[in-house]
Amino acid sequence: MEQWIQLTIDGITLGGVYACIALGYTLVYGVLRMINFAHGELFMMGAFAGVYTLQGFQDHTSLNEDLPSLTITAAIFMGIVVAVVLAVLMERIAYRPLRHAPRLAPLISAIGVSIFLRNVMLRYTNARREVYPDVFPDGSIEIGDVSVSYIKLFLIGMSILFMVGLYLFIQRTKTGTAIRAVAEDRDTAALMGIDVDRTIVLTFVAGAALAGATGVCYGMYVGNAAAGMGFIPGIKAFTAAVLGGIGSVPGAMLGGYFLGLSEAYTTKLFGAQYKDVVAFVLLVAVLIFRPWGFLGKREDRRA
Amino acid sequence: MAPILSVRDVSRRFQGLTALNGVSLDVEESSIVGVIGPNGAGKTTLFNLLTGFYKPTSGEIWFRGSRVDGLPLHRIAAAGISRTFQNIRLFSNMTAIENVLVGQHLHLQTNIATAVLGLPATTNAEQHAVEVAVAHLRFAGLGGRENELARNLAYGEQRRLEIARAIALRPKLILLDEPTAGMNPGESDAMIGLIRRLRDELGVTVILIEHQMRVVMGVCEYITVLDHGEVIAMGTPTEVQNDQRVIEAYLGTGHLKSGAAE
Amino acid sequence: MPGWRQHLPRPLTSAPYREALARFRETPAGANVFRFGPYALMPVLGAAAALAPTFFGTRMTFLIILVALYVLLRISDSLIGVAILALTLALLPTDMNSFEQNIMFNVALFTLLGIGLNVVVGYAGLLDLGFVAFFAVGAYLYALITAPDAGASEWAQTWDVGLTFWAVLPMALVLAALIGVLLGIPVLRLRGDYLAIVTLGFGEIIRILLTTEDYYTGGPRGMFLLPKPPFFGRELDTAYELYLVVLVLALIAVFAAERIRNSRVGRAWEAIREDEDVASAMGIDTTVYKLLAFAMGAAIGGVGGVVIAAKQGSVFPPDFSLEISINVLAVVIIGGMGNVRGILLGALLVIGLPDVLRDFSINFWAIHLDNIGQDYRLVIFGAALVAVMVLRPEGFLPSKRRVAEFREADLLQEEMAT
Ligand SMILES: Nc1ncnc2c1ncn2[C@@H]1O[C@H](COP(=O)(O)OP(=O)(O)O)[C@@H](O)[C@H]1O
Ligand SMILES: [Mg+2]
Repeated sequence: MEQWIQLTIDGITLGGVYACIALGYTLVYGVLRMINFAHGELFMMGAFAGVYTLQGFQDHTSLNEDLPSLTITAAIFMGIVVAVVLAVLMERIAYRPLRHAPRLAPLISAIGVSIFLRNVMLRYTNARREVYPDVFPDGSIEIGDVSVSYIKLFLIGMSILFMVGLYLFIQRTKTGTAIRAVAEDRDTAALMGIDVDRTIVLTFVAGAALAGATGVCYGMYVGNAAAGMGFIPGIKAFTAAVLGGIGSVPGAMLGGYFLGLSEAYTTKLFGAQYKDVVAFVLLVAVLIFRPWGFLGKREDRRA
Repeated sequence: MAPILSVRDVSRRFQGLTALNGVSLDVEESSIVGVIGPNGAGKTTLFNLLTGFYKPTSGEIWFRGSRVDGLPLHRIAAAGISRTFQNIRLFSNMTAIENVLVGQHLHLQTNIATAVLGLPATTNAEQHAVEVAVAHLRFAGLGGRENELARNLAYGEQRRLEIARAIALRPKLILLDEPTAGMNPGESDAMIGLIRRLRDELGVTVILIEHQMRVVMGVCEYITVLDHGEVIAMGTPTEVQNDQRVIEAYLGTGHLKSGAAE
Repeated sequence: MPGWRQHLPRPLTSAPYREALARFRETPAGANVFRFGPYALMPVLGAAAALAPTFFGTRMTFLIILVALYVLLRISDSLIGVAILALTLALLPTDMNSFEQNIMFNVALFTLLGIGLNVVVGYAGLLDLGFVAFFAVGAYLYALITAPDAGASEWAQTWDVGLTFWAVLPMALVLAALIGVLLGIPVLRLRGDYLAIVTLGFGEIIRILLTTEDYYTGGPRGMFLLPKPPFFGRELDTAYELYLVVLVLALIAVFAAERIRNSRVGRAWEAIREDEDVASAMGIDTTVYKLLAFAMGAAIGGVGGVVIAAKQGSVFPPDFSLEISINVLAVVIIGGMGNVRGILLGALLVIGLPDVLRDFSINFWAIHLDNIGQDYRLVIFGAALVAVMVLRPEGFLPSKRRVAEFREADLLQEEMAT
């Protein structure tokens, strides 16, 4: 029994990460009907920004020991900044010129961006991992026989915090309303005076900020950053977005947790080597039986 | 004689919106039928249901004695219904003749194996298909434009290429969605001629959606009027023109009056 | 749409250049240049092939080949041009050392794979990111069937059918096509973008399964000591001989792909790529045709897998990583989607050039980059994919319209007019 609770907690931890990345896919898909293949790399770049920030504090100050909350906040902030800058650049350079191109073009361009970023970091780090300085207090809380480390709690909490933040942003702010309007019907939104280009950029910014921040927290959780770290989580987050119904914000969150839990239980039931297989099996299953996902809208073909 | 097409109590809803509500309609073989109505009345939606782009929420569609609603698009095409689109949808990076050749898909047999082998029979069939395509293009008044990319054709030519492509299927019923939209009177007249020839020379039954009353009155033998997703009148052009509800539905739009005045 | 693209120098293919070329082609002299030019180029290329390595070294030779091929491919599209090309390519590596011959083998292999993927991506417009899966299917089929006593697969040791390379080729073709269909059935009904991710996942799953199912595949320890292709009582075991084998296979694939493209099937694919719903309304069973494209691409991938297994004499799961899929995709895109002539050029640029420039380094001002070809190839591919899509979506060798088919139509037209 304790083992199952432990697995559930692991699943929620990972699920929160997937959900946060999935939101970026879903938002961009909503406004552009395009899968931003490079989104997982923003998560990776965020993790690197975080690790370099913390290493900087480590090398030049003693703030990591004295005021870890400050350095962690700074790391997360840097993760957000780097991811956002990259997202704006990629939208401008690789996606915007292709907005009216055949549908394959932006997809291939996005794959190009993804390969580029991943391999730039691979070269920059010489294919090594960057180790996160030990800033986060060790230890765990015990509930009965189940123990949960602080860092795990932190990751769970942060992912929920990020999601709630994003949700409020989408629902309550003017920009959020504009994003929803553009997602609903770009032409009508433009007619109503919404600056579509700007809204699309802001959508990328919102998704990137979330991915960058999550990247830092995840990096602290696993203890390092590596060039390849965005790839598999990126694909899985995409799967989560599809599971929940691509284009749907609550769907992405639901899908993320569903996938995280499925993976955790798979590890126990079938063995750890099948952990990565389950995401794809789920993806194919949902695409066959319910392609619009748990919470998505069915789309008719247009004529 | 049994009607070639029979629409029975068909409805279609989009989320909250009822685009078509209990529409029934019979079309006689070899007739030219007009569907008119204000914008948003559900005319295009009706075409989309007839060709399988949408499935009806309820109701049945019968074509030549068998039920076609709910069939996939290509099965409906094979059954003998083809169409054009209000917002032109050509294969724009293919040439005019290639567009028509695609329309002949069902009447050609080449498959991967025969294509690779390239036996004389296959080559001859391909050659024949090209000749047929040229004939279709000439029928639609596009002789000499074979090798032009569809997207480089003039607007009116694109509309006619859609018709050429549609007749390449050798349909029994052809659906034309606003074939004269955006055309000047001269072009519209030519289009009227083409529509008549579809029926007179090819024996195809025609249903067309049309806004210009001059065209509707000039070419249609029978008219169905849609408004807010419902059939509000049907009959000959004269009957419809004098129908009180039709006049009301069009009141303010000016369409019918100005059209009738011409 | 104004923008900075307007300020770039005109690409060679821009209208004035093309018109001038067309005018030249219409003059008697021009017509002869175009008709006989390729023949004339042949001894030049042949001589370059034979002499260049000695005089210029590998790098320069490669560049010469690249330029010559580009010119050749641009001006000639006839069957004769292809024949000359094939002959030149066949003779090219005779004087090369084995390192260079191996590069040429890889170029030819990726040309073959590119032709396969191009059917899927270029013709039918389906983005398949798991192409390596079919490559793996072919390779492991070859290993299992031909090498019962070698490697760690216990399963293979339970039977011994004694088949050779030549028998496995058609088997791999069929098996890969079947697996392609099985994979395609659930996903091809869906939107294109999903296909990209699902195929990507499938490529990864195959690699994972190759590792975990060690009873069948030998797991991470792989399978080795695989036989070479027999050929009239001897074995084809040099890089050059195997290069010739792939070259022939690639030629057959080019031939088949081009013929299919210019038929009803190819037009159906193109229509699907342009507007799937309308294609369907034209009577095309889009699911069947997408499956067909997928199966054909898979079949060619499977054949490529057999060849690589025979060449290496071994198969290990890491040989079938995502990077293969990306390389093949880059070959297709950079060469020019939908265009088989461009694929060869794509393979030379994507597979050959980085190998030739393996230890090339850049030292310029504050920039010091070593081993460009080896370490930075993926960085460059990534940027190249974006650049090609944004600047030159038709690739470096845009496909020529199939005008020949319709000249007949013109003739008919003229007859009727007169
Ligand atoms: N795919 C769709 N989704 C939602 N609403 C639709 C869809 N297609 C049509 N409608 C709605 O159905 C109504 C009828 O549209 P339509 O058939 O195109 O009218 P028209 O008579 O002008 O051709 C319109 O209100 C339109 O907005
Ligand atoms: Mg309409």
